[in-house]
Amino acid sequence: MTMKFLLVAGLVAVLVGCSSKTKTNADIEQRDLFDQSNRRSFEQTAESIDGVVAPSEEELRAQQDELKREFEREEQRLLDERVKLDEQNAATQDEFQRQAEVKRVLSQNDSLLSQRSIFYDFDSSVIKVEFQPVIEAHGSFLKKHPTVRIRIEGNCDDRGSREYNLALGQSRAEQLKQAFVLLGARADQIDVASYGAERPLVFGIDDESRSKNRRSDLVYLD
Amino acid sequence: MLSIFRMTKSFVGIMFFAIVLSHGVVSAQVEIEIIADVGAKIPITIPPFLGEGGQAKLISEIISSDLAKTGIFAIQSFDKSWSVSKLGDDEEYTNWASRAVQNLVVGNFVKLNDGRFQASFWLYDIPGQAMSVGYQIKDDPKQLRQMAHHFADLIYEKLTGDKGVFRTKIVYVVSKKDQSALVIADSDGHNPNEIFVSKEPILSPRWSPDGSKVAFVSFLKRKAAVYVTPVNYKKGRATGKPIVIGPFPGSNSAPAWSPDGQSLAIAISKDGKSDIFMISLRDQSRVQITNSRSINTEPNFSHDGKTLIFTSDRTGRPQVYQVPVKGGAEVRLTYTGRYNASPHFSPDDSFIALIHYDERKFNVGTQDMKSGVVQILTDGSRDQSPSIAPNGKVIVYASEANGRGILRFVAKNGRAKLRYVGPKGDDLREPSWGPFIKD
Repeated sequence: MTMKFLLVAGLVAVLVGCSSKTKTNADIEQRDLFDQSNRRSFEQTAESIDGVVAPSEEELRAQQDELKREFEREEQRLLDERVKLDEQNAATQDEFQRQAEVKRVLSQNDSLLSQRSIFYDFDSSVIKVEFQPVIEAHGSFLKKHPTVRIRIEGNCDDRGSREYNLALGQSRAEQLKQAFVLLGARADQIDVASYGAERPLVFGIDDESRSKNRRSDLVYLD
Repeated sequence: MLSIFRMTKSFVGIMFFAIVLSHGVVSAQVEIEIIADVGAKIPITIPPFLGEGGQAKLISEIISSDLAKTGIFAIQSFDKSWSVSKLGDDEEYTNWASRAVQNLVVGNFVKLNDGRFQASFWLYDIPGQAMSVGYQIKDDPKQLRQMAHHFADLIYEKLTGDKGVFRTKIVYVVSKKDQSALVIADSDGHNPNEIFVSKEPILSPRWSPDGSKVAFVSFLKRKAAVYVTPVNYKKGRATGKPIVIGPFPGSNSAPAWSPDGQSLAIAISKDGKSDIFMISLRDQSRVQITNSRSINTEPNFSHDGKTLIFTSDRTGRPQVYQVPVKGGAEVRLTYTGRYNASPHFSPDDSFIALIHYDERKFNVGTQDMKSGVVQILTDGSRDQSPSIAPNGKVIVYASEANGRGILRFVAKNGRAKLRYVGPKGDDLREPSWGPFIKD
């Protein structure tokens, strides 16, 4: 670009010089002066443009390409985000539906799932046959809803050693957990705890009260 | 302070004391029922201490009550017309001998100018015409009961050859409507003081061998966890907050102190079984002691530190087993009855206290370590949590009356029984008897 400007300036100077042969020396000198100042002015112009570092066409094209790619990338990112949000939204909808379903099933009054206590004989953690249907209902429910979590709390009646009862309550809860796992529940869905004889359901020392206290409670966690 | 002495003329003489005290909002009642159908008793006469009114009289009452509660002593009635003074010449001994007095306590109580008191007593062997013990204490008026218990300890030791436990403490659980409290009281039930209160249940408090700490079980995030809290034994007060030991994964419970106080044996329940582990209190490192696919819990150390006894249901029903602390065979100890649990070694390791179930009721009994003979000591229907006094002569346990938890005491020889009822509405449980006071 600089070279072009210098060539043009040179040509102009030669043509001007040829056409002024008839003029006086003073005129010529003046003209020369003029020409020189003119030339200088051209040169200066070329130099000043050079100082701004004007981009070449290649560079401009590269810049434009880069911008275009960047724009495309951004467009893709936004598109991805949109897809992701849509997916999330759908999942949230699913989750809402699932939770609603879990809530609905768990709140049904006369279902097997509405029975949340398993009762035992004195000093025993053996699951009695009569509770098998209830346990199967909870086990398959846990299997069907692997994100649902449950805590099994073992309890005992007031008779005997408190410490032994604490261990017995734990054993009751653990055996129930194993039964659920055998039915397809995941072990990490189930937490076990024992309160031994410390959290009676009913306060009473008659046989009926005691039979109500020898229990494992199933607590569904939010 | 109210004292009632009542003697029935039935074959079984029952002496009944009711000591009611008011202690701020807390009050406690101790009833003493002494079965006196077997064996001779040591007669002793304890006139009111000489000195100013109420306090001097209180000292002799406390000593009388302490000694009577053991079932070993017969507190002789005293005629107010008898003049009491320190004995000197033979004539004074002869005078007391003519009143059929065998052991006489003469005491003296004075208030000092510095606000303290000075109390002295002399124990006389009347037939032997000799003073067998003399002792003097200067102390703060707040320590009056402790001082009287100290005198009772000295008299008891002189006349029976065994150390008295009248100055020791008990720790127990009080279950209220929506909270549980850990309470330290004098062994006669006086001066109850809550050292820890929680919304969660508390169980299994155990004194460290030197009395400087209490280990217990409460619940942390719905799991049983073992805690240790520092206490001042003499004052019966907490000196810091409880710290949790571990907690190790699973349910942590049933702490038992090693005799050196450096370790706790605890039961850890996990994955359907419960095993006993030794936990070093220095670095909380643990060593497994038992290993069976069953319940193993309620460890208790022999006082020589070599073995542990514990409850296991490996045969399907709870029975007591013994295992060397350093590892070895686990040997079954109990064969009488379908349910034996909560074993505790006596201070000399000669017998264990346990709870025993005979298909109808739970009772506290002992089993001799050599002969294996089982003796049932109580007659409640739901007696549990036995703990043996440091002299091996008395067992405190949890029982019930009118649907409330109370503490009962029974002499190892079965000859004396006491009832300790807490303030109204409180449910008392899980007593643990503390060590001797170090003088």
